Amino acid sequence: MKVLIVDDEFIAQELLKGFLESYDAIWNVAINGIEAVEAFQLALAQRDPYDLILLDIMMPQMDGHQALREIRRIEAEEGIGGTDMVKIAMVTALSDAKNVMEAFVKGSCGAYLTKPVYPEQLHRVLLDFGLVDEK
Amino acid sequence: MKDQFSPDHIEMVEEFCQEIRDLLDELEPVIVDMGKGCGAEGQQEDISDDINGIFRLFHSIKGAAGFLNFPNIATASHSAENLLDLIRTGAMSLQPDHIDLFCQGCDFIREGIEHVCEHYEDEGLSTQSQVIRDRFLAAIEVDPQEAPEEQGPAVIDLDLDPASLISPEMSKNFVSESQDILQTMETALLNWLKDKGNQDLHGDVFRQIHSFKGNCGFLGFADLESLSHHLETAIDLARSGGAADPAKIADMALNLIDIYRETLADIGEGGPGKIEGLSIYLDMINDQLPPQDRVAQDVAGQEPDRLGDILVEQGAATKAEVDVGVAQQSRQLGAILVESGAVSHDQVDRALETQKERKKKKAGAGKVKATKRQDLRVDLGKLDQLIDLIGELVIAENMVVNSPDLEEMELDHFQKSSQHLGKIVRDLQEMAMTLRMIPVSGLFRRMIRLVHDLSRKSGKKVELILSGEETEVDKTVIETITDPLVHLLRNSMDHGIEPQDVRLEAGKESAGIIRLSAVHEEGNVKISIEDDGGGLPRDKILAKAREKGILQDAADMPDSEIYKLIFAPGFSTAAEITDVSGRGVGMDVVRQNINKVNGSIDIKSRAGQGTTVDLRIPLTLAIIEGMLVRCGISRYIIPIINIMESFRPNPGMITVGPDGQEVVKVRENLLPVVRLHDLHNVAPDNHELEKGILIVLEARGSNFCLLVDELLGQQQTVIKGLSDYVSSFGNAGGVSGCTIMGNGEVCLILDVQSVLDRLNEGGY
Repeated sequence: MKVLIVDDEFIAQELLKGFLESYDAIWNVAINGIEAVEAFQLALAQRDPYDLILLDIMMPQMDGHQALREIRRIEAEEGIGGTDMVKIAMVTALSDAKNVMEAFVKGSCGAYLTKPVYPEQLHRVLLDFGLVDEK
Repeated sequence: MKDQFSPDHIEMVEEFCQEIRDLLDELEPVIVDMGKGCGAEGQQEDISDDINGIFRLFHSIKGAAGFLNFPNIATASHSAENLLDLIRTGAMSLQPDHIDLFCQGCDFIREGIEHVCEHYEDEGLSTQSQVIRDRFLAAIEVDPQEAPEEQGPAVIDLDLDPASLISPEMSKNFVSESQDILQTMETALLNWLKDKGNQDLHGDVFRQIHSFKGNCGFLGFADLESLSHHLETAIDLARSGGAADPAKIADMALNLIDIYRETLADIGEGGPGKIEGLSIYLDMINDQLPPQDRVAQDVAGQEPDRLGDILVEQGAATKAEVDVGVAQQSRQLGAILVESGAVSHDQVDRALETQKERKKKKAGAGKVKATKRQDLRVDLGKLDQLIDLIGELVIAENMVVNSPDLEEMELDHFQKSSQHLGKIVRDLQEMAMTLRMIPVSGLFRRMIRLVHDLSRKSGKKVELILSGEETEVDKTVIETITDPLVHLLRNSMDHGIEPQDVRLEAGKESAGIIRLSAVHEEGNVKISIEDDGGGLPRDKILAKAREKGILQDAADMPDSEIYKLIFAPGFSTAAEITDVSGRGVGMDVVRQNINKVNGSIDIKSRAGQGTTVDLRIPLTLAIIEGMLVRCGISRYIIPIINIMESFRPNPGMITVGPDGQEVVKVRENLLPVVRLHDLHNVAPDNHELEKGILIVLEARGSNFCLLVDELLGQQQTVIKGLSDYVSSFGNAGGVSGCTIMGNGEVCLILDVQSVLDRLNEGGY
């Protein structure tokens, strides 16, 4: 499983990496929306797309919402749709209705986790996304 | 319920509902649009964007619903996703019923949104969610190998429930459009009946049934369509002079129009639009046609499947018996045979079952036909709102132009612009009033049919002559007078027009004549029903009235009052009750309905020469042209239509009658005088007639003079009804309503008619 962790906070990055260590996963880290979109495009070009993107919202330069919309736009351009769309889970401290619904409705994210995140929550998401089997 | 959830959750749900609603609004058209191109070869490429868009819709809903813990909405969306994904990857091709399914999915989600908006959880949706999931599952489980092979052109499969594909809006439009078509067709048929050789008239009929058939097919009403198709064939053959008898076909078509109407009414109420006993009607049509032209009902075309044939086949009836039944084609064959004792109910039922089975395979493909319309159907409520607003605009305009602040100021430019404004406002007002007006022709045409049917039933020959069809009246007026008109015409047919032999004896034409006319008269529309029958039996009515105890002394009653007795509830002079009239209900309905719209009824009758019933109904003008007058400190509006002239009388014109009634002589006419100040108990400027102004008022042919102190001018007046409290006194002192003046003052509108009535009763 190939994962892109997008977060500007070092602690958050480390925490998510820590979670992923217990799975058979490789990961990259991006520190803002711009890097995230570039990493996503690069992976597409290399025909080795990400299975999962863990995306923070509050980040410098380009925030998570923008990044999410950009990723979906690129997918639409490339004709990638349906279940081929990359699975994205928002991982953020923001939990107000506007942000949550924007991520779901405008960005078609698959899951929304509010910080602090616990390993069980992430595991649940991986299960929902069909990235891991029930252990 | 709301308390169990945190404010955060509630806010989230509200946001969810809003966002998803917007999303649905955006994507539903895409789904429907995609449906138009689906099914055809090579289209899959073009729709992949749409598919992806729709996938994202369901995906977003699934994610958000999952987050909010709405499992039912989430799983339903998930099942939609599954199907979409199969289509996207090419594992399945998009079928028309898939579109249908996605629409159902959207509907479910809309319902779900409403539900969660109220309850903040989706437990109540589990059944519906299950239904949706099952449907998607069923669609997925169709063998994907077979489906693309078997797939025909983009025809909606009629075995599917078409109701789910058709929005209520569509079927509503269909029903009202079809009613118009049927109306036109009915008129065309009756015209054609009179002149059977006329190809143009025949063409009229044919076009109507053809477009009706098209519409039915388009919306997937298979029963209506197949019946119309048969009828179309029959009508076509009647022209080409085949063995079909035009008269019989036309009669049959008239009967079938009733069936159509019933079915349309059913559809209008949300029914499936099935025709009970469809096969029998189809047989009925086929029996009118020469064998080689009969419309094939059975795909195989081998088995005889007419009801009569089946009965013979099952040995329940002989061929001869069936033929007798067939000869009486105007009713259902089965019913006829049961009645004549040839077969039992059970046998017919069994035969009908067989017939149904044999027809199951009958194919019927929907023909897509788009109909264009130039007009727009607008909700009446909106129209009324508009008219109300324009009413307010008129008041506001008056307020501005007659503002006390502007009094005695020289404002040339303002005068000019305000006149211009006034003209525009008046034009607008006139336009607004005409919006609600529709010609009576539709109503009148319906009567052609009524008279046709009644004349067949009673055996009396009657010619209905219409005039003034183009007269326009308010829509509500049309609705209110439909029933009265039916009753009055029935009355004319049943009581008025004599049987043929009586007519011939009396030296009249054998065919009776009924004239139905509409004309604008003052602020009213006058609708007259005039027959050349025997006239109202004055003595019989009087006798009956005495018997019923409605009337004791009739010595000096004018004829017109006596005739009005027929409007009393339960009053009927008919010796026996027929299915046309005799129960004494009809005339009461007439009276009540006409009263409801402030109309009046006048009856004129001459023995042996006929009866005329005049209905006068106000055009329901909410705005009238009025004359503002002053009496003491009070101001009144008098409707301009009632005003003949006004003058200051000379002492020589005035005489006082023995009963104290003042009378003024105006050009050889002696007119009674009513003093407005007496009427409403206000202190006038002066009591002498010579110092005031007399206005000659006219209502329904009678004149009188009204004394006022001053004429203030003419103006547009918006009628505001009196409050219920005031009108609960009954006739509120000759006042029909009030209006608000430019300066905000309330001003009463005089009801000239009721003033006159009270004058005649000796009240003044």
